[in-house]
Amino acid sequence: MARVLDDSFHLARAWVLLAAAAAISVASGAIFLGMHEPEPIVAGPGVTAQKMLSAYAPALAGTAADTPVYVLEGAEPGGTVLLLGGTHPQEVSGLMGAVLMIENATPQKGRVIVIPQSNRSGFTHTDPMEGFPHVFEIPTPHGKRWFRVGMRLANPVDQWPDPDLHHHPQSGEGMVGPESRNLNRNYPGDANGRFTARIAAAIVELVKAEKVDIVLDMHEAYPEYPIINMIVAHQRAFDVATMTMIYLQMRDIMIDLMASPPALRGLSHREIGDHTEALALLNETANAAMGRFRGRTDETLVVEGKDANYVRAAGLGRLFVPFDANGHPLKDRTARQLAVIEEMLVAYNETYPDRPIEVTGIPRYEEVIEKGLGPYLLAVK
Amino acid sequence: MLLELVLLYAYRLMALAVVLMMIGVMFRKPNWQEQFFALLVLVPFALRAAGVK
Repeated sequence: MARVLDDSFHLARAWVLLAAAAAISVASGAIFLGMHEPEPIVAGPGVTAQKMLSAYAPALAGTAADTPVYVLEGAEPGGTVLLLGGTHPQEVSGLMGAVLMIENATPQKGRVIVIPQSNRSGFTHTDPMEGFPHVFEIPTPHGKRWFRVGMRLANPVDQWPDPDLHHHPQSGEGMVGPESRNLNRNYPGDANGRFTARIAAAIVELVKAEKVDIVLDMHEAYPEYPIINMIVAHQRAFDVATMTMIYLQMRDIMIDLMASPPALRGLSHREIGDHTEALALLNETANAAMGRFRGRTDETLVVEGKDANYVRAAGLGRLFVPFDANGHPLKDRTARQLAVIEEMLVAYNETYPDRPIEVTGIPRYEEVIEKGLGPYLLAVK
Repeated sequence: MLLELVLLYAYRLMALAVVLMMIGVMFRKPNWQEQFFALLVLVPFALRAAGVK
């Protein structure tokens, strides 16, 4: 070994080190480029069209702001529901709820429009210094499917620098600077504004252009956050939201309801409700991987939602949801999102029978909890 | 847009220059520590010159 480090071997050593540099560069480069590969989302039997968000805002084309939009149209006319997943990319039950709708739901009347990755830029990075895994896997009968864990905000590569204060332009409300990259603080958006504001504007334009009747924005929150296992509804959507909550509770799915605060600006349930004709709702499920009490942040925590610290916190009365050794697995959280969609459509159809949205094939809450997500994810061709 | 492209490729050429200099260091320097440090500098600049990062 000492001879190898001797100066007389420097030429041979140079070739070895050059080869090592090439190997490291190729390997790390391949890994880095692989992080740009989009995760496969399979169009299910109900998908009738697939387009990009730039169809509603051409300036988004070719940018990281553009994102796939899935249209599921029934044979009979009716109303239109828009489902938003991935507004906050690390809130993965929103993504998975959207994916399971795309891969399973079949509208009979009306349309379902799904944006699984509303803030697609947020999927290209993770929370700095929080040690999040980049991806998680779900076993399926066809092999493993992988999905990204992102970050609440758009990637600073796409929008930089952050202002000292983010002012919601329509109201003047001030927020901390990084919230300028939070899609859910930028509604109704600005087609000529910064990156994230343009995404919000494009989604609002979609709502108007497609005459969307009802919007559900699917989110998660940490167990110590008070707005959790809860529907938040714009005042015009409150009747539908109330009925949704009642129907869920009749199924022993405990969920609360909160009115969208009029003074809290930039959020989907406030601004889409104020600036379009659509009813606007938002749903929150509990995700221990997002919280401050969590232990090791790894794929297991994201998927299984179990954490001993949170069990202890629950015993101390510090949480706003029950938390035991079973945790809140992703399958349970996704099942809640799907149950909210299912009952929200029932409530909507009873309230607006002239524009029905009837959808079959939505995976049932009890079955998703029992079987997991795998059976409802299609094979990737 | 053109200015941005020019600046981008100028940056990549500079990164490539660093890569070539580090290869030169690897082959000219007899000391194994200097050769190893050249490797540590070479890898990230190679990725930048290739436009990967």
